[in-house]
Amino acid sequence: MRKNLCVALSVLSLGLLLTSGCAKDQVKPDEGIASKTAAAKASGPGQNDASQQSAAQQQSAAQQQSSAQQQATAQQQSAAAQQQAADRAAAEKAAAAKAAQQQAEEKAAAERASAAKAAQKQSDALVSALKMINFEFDSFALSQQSRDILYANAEYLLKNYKGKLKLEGHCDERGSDEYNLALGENRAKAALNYLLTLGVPASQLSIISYGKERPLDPASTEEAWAKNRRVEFKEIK
Amino acid sequence: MIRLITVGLLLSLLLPGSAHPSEDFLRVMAAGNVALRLVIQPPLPASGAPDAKLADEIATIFKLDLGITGLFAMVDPAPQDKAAAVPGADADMVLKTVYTVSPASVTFEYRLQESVTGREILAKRYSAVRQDLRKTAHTFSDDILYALTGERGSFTGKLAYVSKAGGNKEIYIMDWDGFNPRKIIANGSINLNPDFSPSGKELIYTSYKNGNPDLFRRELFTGAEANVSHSPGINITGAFSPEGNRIALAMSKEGNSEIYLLTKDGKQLARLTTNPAIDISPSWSPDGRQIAFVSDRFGKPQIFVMSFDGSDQKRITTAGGYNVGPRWSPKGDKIAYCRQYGNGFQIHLINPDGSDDRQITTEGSNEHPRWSPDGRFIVYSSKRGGKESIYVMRNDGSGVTKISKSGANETHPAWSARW
Repeated sequence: MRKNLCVALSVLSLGLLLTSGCAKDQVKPDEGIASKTAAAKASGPGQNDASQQSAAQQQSAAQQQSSAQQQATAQQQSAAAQQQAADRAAAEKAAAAKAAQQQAEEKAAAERASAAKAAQKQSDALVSALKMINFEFDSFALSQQSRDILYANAEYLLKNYKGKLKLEGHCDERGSDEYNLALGENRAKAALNYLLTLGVPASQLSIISYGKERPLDPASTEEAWAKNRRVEFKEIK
Repeated sequence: MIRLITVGLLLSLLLPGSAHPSEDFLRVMAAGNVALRLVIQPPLPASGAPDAKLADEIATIFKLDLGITGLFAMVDPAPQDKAAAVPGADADMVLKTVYTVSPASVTFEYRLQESVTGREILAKRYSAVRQDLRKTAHTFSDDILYALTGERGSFTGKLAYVSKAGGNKEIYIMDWDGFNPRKIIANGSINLNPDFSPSGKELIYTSYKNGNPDLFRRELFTGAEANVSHSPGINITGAFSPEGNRIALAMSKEGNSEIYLLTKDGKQLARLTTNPAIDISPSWSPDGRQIAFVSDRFGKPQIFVMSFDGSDQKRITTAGGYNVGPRWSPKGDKIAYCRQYGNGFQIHLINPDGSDDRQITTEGSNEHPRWSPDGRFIVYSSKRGGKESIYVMRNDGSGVTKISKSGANETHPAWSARW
């Protein structure tokens, strides 16, 4: 019995909190407390009916604590009414939010797709624009041809690409694998330094050496070796 | 976690006969003397039916271990021996094995005896789970070398190496004779340059698994791992110091590849080289006082030696246009390295002062020499026609033996201390 009363009271006070919260929302900030109550009373059916009811209920609950059983029933009814109203409002709100969210998601997906498309297009353009450079055996000196290629790469980057790039240094299979890791790095560094002198921002560029671990052509021919001694430009996505 | 070592050798019991090196034999086994004639008798069951497969496996291990030392000439235990007045009269020593097979384990009794007198030189009994039976024979081989020469063998050490059997460069461990290969480091990335700690219980290696060639240290028994060095650029060719508390390493964080000294946990102690050339591939002298390394400061890669504090840097190779991969011998008297010939390499030995430079391999292309802990052997990668494989030879270039069996490209072996 006592338990029932407690539950009823707490449901009631929750209802009060909810409804007074709703009422408050309708008040402009420069209005006084009195006008707030008036506004709450003046506003139409629905939640505010519940609010009025509940205010009345609160009063009677305070006055008639001795006949708690009757009151509890009334309070439960009142709480149910409030709950219904709140549920209705919440459902409407949720539906609206859901619709909005769905719209936003569709829009975002479309944006993502078009962004991915654009990024892919940019990647493809980048890959075809940035040519790799090649080196002589056991050398990281930039030939005139390599400088020309780097110049063209720098021009492209400055005009078209603000993202990050990794310069990968590679070697052919003939030297020592350990030494080639250092040599590959020197090749990447030589390319990096030249791009920096051409004005490509340092923040866009980084290097890594793969030595002879990742040949383009695994054959053991002069042609394959020449191809494998290289610096490649890789987009960092 | 891979079980790296099985609980084996439950009992290793010294039987009558001395495990200490005998003066008589030290004289006989001295370098330059003729090989001792050895009969490896077919292992026999203590009781019950013989296990032909097991007997053959044990005899084959002894033949390989003792044969590759070059100290023994194998005498066939010919059937007519039995008819001879004195069995084994044409041999100096006899190696006898008696085994007992039970469902859970195998017990071996190994005896090395003088052939004619029957005097026992060394005898031991081992009880092992079946998968460890090879280890009992390798252990006895090590003990035979100790008894006869005063220096234990390295046959119970492991080889770590880089294998492409799984497609990527991954790190494996196997017995010195190529048995029991186990993949221990695989991460879908490139893994390079394994080097054992002096105890053989830890391994350092370089991996691209975090996107940059970083140095890692792994405890082999627990699998615990630390990223020891991850400075921008390369962190490669790490080498444990002989006492195991420091690592010499090539890093490029200050512009180009230089050699640094780190604690084994990666704290930098010193920078040892300072010049605009490539300095790489450090290898410690066994006393920890010097480091051999590669530098191309005079144009092409050559072998240099410096003090462990970076002072007194001297070039020691004066011939050949491309010399790399130095490895100091455990006795300190030689440095093995490789020289480029045409499009391949051959292994050379040179004294640390630059004298007595000589080539010890000729066939195929041979690279990545590393010493066995006893200094008797050099393990290396060799390419003879097809793929690169792991080979072992004596430290004078004789006794060339192919070790790896996978058929995949296998390189960069390192030989651990006894496990």
